[in-house]
Amino acid sequence: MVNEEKVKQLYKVALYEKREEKLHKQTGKYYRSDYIGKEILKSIFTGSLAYLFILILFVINKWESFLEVVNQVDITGWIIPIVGVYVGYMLVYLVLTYVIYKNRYENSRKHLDEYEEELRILHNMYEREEKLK
Amino acid sequence: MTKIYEIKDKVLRFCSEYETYLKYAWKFVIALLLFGIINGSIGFMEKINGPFITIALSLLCCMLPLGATLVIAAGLVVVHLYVLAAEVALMAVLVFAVVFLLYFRFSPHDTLLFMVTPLLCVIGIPYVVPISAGLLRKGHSAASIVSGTIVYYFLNGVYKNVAVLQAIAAGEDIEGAKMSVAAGQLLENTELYLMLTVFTISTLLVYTIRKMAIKYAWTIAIVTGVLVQITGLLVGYIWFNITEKVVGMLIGNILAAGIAFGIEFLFMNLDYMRTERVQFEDDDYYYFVKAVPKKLVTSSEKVITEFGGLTGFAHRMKARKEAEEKITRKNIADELEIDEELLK
Repeated sequence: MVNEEKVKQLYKVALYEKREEKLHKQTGKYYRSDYIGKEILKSIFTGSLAYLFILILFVINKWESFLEVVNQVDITGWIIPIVGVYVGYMLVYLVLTYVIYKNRYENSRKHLDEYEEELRILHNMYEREEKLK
Repeated sequence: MTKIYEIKDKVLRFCSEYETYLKYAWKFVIALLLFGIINGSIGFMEKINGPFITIALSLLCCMLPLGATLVIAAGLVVVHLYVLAAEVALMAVLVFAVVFLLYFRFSPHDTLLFMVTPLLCVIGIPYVVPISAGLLRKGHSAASIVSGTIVYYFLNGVYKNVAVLQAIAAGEDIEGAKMSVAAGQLLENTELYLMLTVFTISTLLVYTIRKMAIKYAWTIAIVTGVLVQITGLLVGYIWFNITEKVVGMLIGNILAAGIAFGIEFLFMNLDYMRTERVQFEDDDYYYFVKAVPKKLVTSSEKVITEFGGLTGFAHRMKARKEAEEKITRKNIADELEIDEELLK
């Protein structure tokens, strides 16, 4: 005979797996520090790439002024502001990454805990059934 | 008022009943609008500019994830701009690369916001996006709005300078001139920076307020968001001397407020008059719970009142049923060859 309670529980578990498993799969595999560290590394790469593209856009926009500046003997005159802005930009970018991914991790863990609880209930149901046999 | 709640209930029920079809339908509509606007404004490549290709691409997109629609739209833009000038297409690639790096890093699940922002910018009511995002999504959804706004202003800049870009292409080309015009439209556009700042602040503010445990949090969030947008943009427009946009901005914000209140009505319609406060405890905690019930109305039941004697519908039905019953009983009695009275 179909156990209605068990079917309901299976439905809850299946629903989670369908909707949220992909979303929270990664966080389940990592410790918090590892997860955030991994995301910060990714951000260093993507942030630097985005900065490079933005820099190219600025250079294209001010092509003639750029040629004048580049031809100057004093290289530090234009290198230092570029590096300075890069450091400032990356700081903001990485702080944002940290805040967003920390929240995302904590949120995911909460969902995973709920999922574990549902699984535990299901497991108990199976155990009870086994005993009754 | 009860009627409105009933309509809301019906709308929600309809959506949940036909969810599968509606999912395809709205994906199709969004893609159609997006490709239609791209082809209509910067459709320089005639081969892919026609309605047949637009509809075919939209049909394809309704079966793909929203992210794929975004990538196809970006590809379409680059192809069109390549026909205008290869340098401008290169610029578009760079802009999309920066925007995608920002968007995929911080809010990859807000594709809809990314796509809807340029669409609403074209219509003139982009102000609804930060408020809706703050109400329904999270704070970092601002990344999607920023990305969508940047894309709109870049394409709008190209659209407005088509004549200049074509003139440069036709005449003697100064080195990098086409790219400078395209890049200048984006990087020297003070209105863009103003919009980005105001939209980001508005999204974060609306999100923060609607998460607060206060009465009418959603309403306060909407009003604050609209006021911040109006004030910020008004000051900015006066500061940068773009006063011709003030009236449009005010109308757009009023419309945005209306849409936002509609969203509130659909998704968070609470009855604060029936708020209940309960306290209980378990082994680890003592709980102070404040429960605010949703405004719900059960759909009015249809009551059929009968007037008149046997002419009424119910009476006719009853008489018919009785007649059928008699015939059936008689038939059975005949078939069994017994007295009809025995079956009573």
